[in-house]
Amino acid sequence: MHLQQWHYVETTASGQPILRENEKDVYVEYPAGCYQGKAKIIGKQKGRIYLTSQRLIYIDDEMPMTNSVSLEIDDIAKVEYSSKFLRKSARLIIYLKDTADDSETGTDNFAAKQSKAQKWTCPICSALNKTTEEISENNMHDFPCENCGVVPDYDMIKDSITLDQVEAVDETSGNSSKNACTVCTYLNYPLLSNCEMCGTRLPENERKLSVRAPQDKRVQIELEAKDGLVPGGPAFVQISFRMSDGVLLFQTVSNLLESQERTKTQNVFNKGVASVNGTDLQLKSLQILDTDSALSKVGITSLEKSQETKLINNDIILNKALSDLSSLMALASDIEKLYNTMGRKTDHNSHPLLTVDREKFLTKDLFIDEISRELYGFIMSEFQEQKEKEGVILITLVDIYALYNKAMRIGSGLVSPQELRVACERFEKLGLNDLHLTRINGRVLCVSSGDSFGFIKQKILDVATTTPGTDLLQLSQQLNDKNGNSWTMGIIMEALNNCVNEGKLLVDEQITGIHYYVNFDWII
Amino acid sequence: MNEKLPPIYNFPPLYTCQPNVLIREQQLSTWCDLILDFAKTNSVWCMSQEGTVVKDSESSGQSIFRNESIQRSVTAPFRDQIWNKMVQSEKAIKSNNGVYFILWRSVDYWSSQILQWFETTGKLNQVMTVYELLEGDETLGWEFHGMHPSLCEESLQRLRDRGRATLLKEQNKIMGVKVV
Repeated sequence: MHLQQWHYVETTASGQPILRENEKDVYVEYPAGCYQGKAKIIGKQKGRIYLTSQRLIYIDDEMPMTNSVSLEIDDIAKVEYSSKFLRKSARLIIYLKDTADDSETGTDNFAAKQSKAQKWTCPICSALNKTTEEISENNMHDFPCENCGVVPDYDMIKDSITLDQVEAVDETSGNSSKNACTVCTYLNYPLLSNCEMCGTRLPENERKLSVRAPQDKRVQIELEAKDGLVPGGPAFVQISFRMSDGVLLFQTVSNLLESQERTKTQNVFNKGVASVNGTDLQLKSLQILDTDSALSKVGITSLEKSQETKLINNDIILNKALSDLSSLMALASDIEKLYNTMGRKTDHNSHPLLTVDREKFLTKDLFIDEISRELYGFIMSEFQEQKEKEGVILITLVDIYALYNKAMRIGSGLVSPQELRVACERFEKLGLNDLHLTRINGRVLCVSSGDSFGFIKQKILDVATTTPGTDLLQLSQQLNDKNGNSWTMGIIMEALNNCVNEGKLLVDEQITGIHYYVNFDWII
Repeated sequence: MNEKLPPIYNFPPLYTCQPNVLIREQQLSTWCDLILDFAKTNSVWCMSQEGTVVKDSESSGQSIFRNESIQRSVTAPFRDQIWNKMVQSEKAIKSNNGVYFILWRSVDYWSSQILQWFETTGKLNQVMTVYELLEGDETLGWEFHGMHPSLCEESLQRLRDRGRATLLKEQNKIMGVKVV
């Protein structure tokens, strides 16, 4: 026999509770065990406690599908906190609301429903202690005085031990009137505790009148010993915290209960609004705890306990901060590593460049001179490879304009085409003899070194001899086979036109393009 | 058709009008030689503007300006240039109905050939019809056998100009000839 307040929880396959509509996840505590009255519930000793806006859910670690139970927040009258003491772990004692018409129904074994809870008076401080289990000489050390923490001799308290019998409760059947939802006015089946439509918790008083649900077979509560609950007396369950002190959960539940009282008195038609007249309606679910006020006990033990909790809390915060910091550092070093591997190899001949800024020069003449020098250096370094390999450079002025402005002039003001041309014309005047401005085919301005045009023409003729019927694309591929893109399409095109006009090449115009042949047959 | 022609017939740039003027002149003369060569080996007397062989005022066969084996053909403007060159260099005569007589021998050569035939066969002072002269059994084996009648008229007129022939006309058309 178990308390009616235990409810079955639907869980997902991964062992998470399936929340109702409008139900919000508030807090999770781990690991924890459940007690009914003072007795351990078998199979519910290691699991998580989910606190939601409507329920307190226990999800078992081993068998989440069968062993998980929940308590409605509405059913909770108040919560108390019992701090950790020696081997007794910290507990949250949850007093359930008195069900007015509690009475026995059915033919369940009465003995199973009662368990022994005992009271004894401490011989040292005269405080009245309660134990969850039957006290004996053997397990006396499990139950030290809750006030002073001293374990007395069994003989000394033998006389003061009294038995407390608490009984499980049950409700009689009521009428089967429908239960109207306060929010959506849907008439729910009387057994339901939450509205079928909107998930709102149904009014308490209405539900009390309604038929009490028969024992939910899915809820399996097996007690290790008698729970010590007396019929008519306060029904309570306990949640024992295995690792943490559970103060946070206690605080949160207390706050939730408080706010629930408040929300119940509020107009249901304002449900869902964020604020009324500027006051916030949202639940203040989590607050920073003040451990001192949370403790129910006084005396040396509590002082010690509170000090201990403070220290532990500080420890936790410090540890968290340190681990966060170290993970941040790890990420930073990862990024640094990535940057180093992906980063471009630094140029071996890179050197700080002089920025030729327009404003630095008094006259335009000087500026153009400087541009001319920079341009010369730029072309010589940019086409160094070609110069070394083939001995000549030939680039159209258009290409130089684009290259130079993109590579050197961004940020310091682009040069105009006119300026570029004037700058190129000044090469000789400035003593820069390797390059000069030439006009090929009488129209295209190029910067070249030596007889580069004759050189490229000869190369083209060579290619056309070995592969008759070659076209522009093939030529450009063959010429730039070894060194990048030093011969541009424009240059090759001009050289081809020149060869054709001179009669060195013959053309074969097709839809696919112009094919070139060396002129062997028609010698001029 | 191309196996009887020199290898330059399969040279792709031949079919494109070359931009260089000097080269183009040589290209055109190459074309003239090709056409004459073709006409001589195939005994072609008459060709259309498109380059097909004309026989009995019907064009037939493939155009010389189209080479299927290398997928090239001469464009119409360039074809006109070639024919102009042919006419200019007196390798062809343009007739009134747009066909060209190919002169792989000159007109004078033909007239002397005909005269030689009259002399060797002893037909002097006899009247021969043009048909007899061109299609008759007696001219078999002579180069002018099968010659186009219009071209033959041209040659006979040369003979008449030299005072060696008298032309017999009927309805403004030369029907017979008497060589003296």
